[in-house]
Amino acid sequence: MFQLHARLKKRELIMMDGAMGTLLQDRYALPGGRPPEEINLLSPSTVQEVHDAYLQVGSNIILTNTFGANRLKMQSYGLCHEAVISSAIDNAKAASEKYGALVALDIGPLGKLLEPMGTLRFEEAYELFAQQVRIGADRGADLIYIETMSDLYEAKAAVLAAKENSTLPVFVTMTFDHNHRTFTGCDADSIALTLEGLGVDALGVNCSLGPKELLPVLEQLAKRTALPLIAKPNAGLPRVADNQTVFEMDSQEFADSMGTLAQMGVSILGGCCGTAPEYISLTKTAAETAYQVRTLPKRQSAISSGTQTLNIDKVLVIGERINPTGKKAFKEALMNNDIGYILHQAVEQVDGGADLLDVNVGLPGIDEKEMMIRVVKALQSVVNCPLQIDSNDPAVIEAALRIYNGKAIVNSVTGEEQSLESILPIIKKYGAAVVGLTLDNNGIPQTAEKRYEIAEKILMRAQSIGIPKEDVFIDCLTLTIAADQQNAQITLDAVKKIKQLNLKTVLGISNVSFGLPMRNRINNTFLTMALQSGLDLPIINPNAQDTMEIVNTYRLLASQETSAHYIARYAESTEALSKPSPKRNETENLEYLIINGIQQGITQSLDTLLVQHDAMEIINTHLIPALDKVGSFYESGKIFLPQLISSAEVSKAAFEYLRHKVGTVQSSVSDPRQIIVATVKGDVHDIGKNIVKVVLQNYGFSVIDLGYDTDIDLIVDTAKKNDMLFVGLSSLMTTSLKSMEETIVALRDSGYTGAIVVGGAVLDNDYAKKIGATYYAKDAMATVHIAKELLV
Amino acid sequence: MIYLLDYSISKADVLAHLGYNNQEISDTLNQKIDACIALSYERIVPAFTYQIFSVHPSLHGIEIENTSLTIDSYDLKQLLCYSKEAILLALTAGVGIEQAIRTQSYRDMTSCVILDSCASVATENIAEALQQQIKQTLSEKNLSITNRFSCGYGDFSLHYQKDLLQLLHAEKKIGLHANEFGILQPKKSITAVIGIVDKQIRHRYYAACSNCAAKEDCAYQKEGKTCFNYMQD
Repeated sequence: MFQLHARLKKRELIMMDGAMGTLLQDRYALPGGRPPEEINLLSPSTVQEVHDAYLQVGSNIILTNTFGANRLKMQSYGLCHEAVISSAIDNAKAASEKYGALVALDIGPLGKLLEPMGTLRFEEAYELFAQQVRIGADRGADLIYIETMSDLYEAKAAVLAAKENSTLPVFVTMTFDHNHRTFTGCDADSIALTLEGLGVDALGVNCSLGPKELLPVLEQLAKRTALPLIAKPNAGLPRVADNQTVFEMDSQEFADSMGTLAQMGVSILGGCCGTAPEYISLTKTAAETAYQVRTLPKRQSAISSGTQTLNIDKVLVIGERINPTGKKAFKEALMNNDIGYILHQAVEQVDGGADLLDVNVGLPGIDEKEMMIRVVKALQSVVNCPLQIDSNDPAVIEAALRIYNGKAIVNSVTGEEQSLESILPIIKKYGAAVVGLTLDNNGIPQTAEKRYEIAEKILMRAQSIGIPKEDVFIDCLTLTIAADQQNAQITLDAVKKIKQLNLKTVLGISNVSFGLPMRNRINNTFLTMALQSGLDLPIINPNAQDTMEIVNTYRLLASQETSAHYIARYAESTEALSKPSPKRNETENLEYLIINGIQQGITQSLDTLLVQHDAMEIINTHLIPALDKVGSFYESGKIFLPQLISSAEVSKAAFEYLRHKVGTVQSSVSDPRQIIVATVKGDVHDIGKNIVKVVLQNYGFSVIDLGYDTDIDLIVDTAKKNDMLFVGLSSLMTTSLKSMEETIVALRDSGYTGAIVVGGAVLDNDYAKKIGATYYAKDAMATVHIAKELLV
Repeated sequence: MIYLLDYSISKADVLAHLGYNNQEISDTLNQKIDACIALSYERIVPAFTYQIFSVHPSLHGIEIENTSLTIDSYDLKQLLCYSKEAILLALTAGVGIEQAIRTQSYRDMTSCVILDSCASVATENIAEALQQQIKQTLSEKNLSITNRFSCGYGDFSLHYQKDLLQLLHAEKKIGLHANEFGILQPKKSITAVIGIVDKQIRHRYYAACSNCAAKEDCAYQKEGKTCFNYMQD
């Protein structure tokens, strides 16, 4: 029998097979539209013949004919996935036995796009893959081969399913486009970091392109991972000739190119579309001569999202704002399930210069685990940067790491035994990086030496279960100097000492000034001192301009960034500052700014008005009339959609400024009732819904945005929990109107008696009534009119 | 799969898509539109695939030969009444632009709406460019094409979206999917059927407005136009 583990360990050459589908089609006339997996049942001998053809030319591992044999796809053909997979394994085993070759359970993509771009839930994807793995493993597969993945998130679901439902080795290959990314935008670095972290046994590329085009991708993977690399490319690029797809490379040319890959150390070789046994035979000959064991890359400290990798080789800013501690509005947003508020903060932080975002949603009275899952999933849909999962509950951390797409940081583990025991294994399982806090059962030590000792202990414990040193970051903890003036220096000394261990350091900054006046000055000076002491990852507010200036100038002075970078960053802001604002009297000015949708100057205009008027008066006599004008301009066609929205956003900013300035400004709508807006289950179109939200908010209504593809239960629960003005549902397509109807039925069944307003391109008044809605709104302004009507 | 498509996003098209009707546009808005067009070019990664199939009329629609697919659609039958073969095509602007639009909605709703329009215009133009390319290739064989007809037009149900993608292996080739509601993912994508006809036949077929899902609130109809007027082919 082929010794896979030994071969992988010694990095010996392993030959896989080539194309399966075309060979099957040549031998068996399947009726049009039927899946090739069905041949496992219709003609086992045909499948065995194809396997045999590859085994004869020296394949050590063959893939079962189960590319699309998941329950979803098989069901759509009226087939039982269990029967298909079982017979496929039997066929492969029957063929491989006499060669002593291994049988890999082949798993391809599910055929549905995963959230956030699609509507298939990560958890559902996991379950579908798990079914395949369990059947395959029971039937005697020797390894699991996950292939042709273009979504790292889907690949992650498959890997978790493979590892949690079997003990078999797992290989993964992804499929890349000409731009060296997958269709979903994943790059080689993020893939290598994430999959290696999850503990796969080998990874690489297959399909879509030929060996020449895939060379740069493999080179990138080789720089990033020490795992054995796999190449199973197509026979060059496809082209259509006489309405048939043909591939440009002949077997010798293919083999020569595969030899080049072997020479750079790619050790697991095979072919995909357009490759026949002859291709594999010649590849084997070429590779055996050319193969060289590659020099393994040096590990780096790095983290990633699904599409972006960050090397921690310069100061990187962790945005601190996704955290309810001490923030009333944030707490309210969490209580109300208002994810939009959090997403807005995320985008603001990234725009402000955050390299990654800390995510903390712990708040008494909410289910932290459920909320963490919702927030992490939502964040992944709007920002590309990596995330830091901030919780001390192992269950919350595990839930977040499970559904996180990429390699995250976990904040944090401490030197306490219980913390080490419960958190480090989770870090290891999901391949995350971890922040170690230098405290233990005795609290936070008063000396730098003691904090260093705890850091050493955390590092040792992490390494003992296989977490690499590069993935352990240390937070030496900032305490306020109001309690003891020595606190700052102890922390800084500890940071310097930790750098001797060659570990990356993390530090929250603002605690240092707690209880003192002019906190910002202290914070900023402390930040500068900490950076100079070796701080790599400051946790700060990236929207505080002066703080970011310190980071950016530090990067310049420490040669972490070129001066060109610095100039590019600040050249623009000088320009913006020097722009003069037109002169008008204040009232006219406010109205002018709102009607023309101009953000700049709005706060100055309000400040001037606030000298003589109170906030409520400004709202009632200036803001609302300006808004009404905008509304009527829009309805009469004097302005068009982008102008309506611009105005809405400016007046929303004005409301927020007044609220911030005067404390609790009563909203122009004194009614405390809420409005829910949501795009219904199955539909991912949310622009219309978002426009309605902005315009409603801007009239002072309080809106809870539940997002798109919204679970019916979430809508029902939120409607039940709050005092509702109305529930607003949006659907763009005729097909998702059914979900809208189901949502309405569920709301009514739950006892909700309030108004339901529906909107969307394919709806009309009659249909809205037919499905039980109270109102149909044709656009955002119509929704405002309905809302006003409901107030009375 | 092939990236030789030359498409453009004209400001006039974007404005039209946004419902522009000669309103005065401020410098700020103008700059936003320009920035959105630039961002669209940056984030759109067009990909397409198409294949020619033999077709013949069935009782209620069209049968695609050598496949198990029969499409029940009177409208499609009309489109293909002079065709022995038809092109099935699928194309997408990709996931990058989709994420950009989503992100923009939490940054600046105005830009978000504009960017969404840019992406729609771009997707339409990618389809146009592809159609021209196909037309040129067929012209050498003395053949021409009908107009493009997509799921959701007339009585051509959105439920066929999945079948079309499956026949074209669009999931694997260009990363295009449809969910159980027939909604394409990524959203800025098009699938369509185009009839192949003899060169001298100029056959166009558009579903009757009375059949259209948007008939109640159609911007074109209000102006006495139809949505297919602008197809200058």
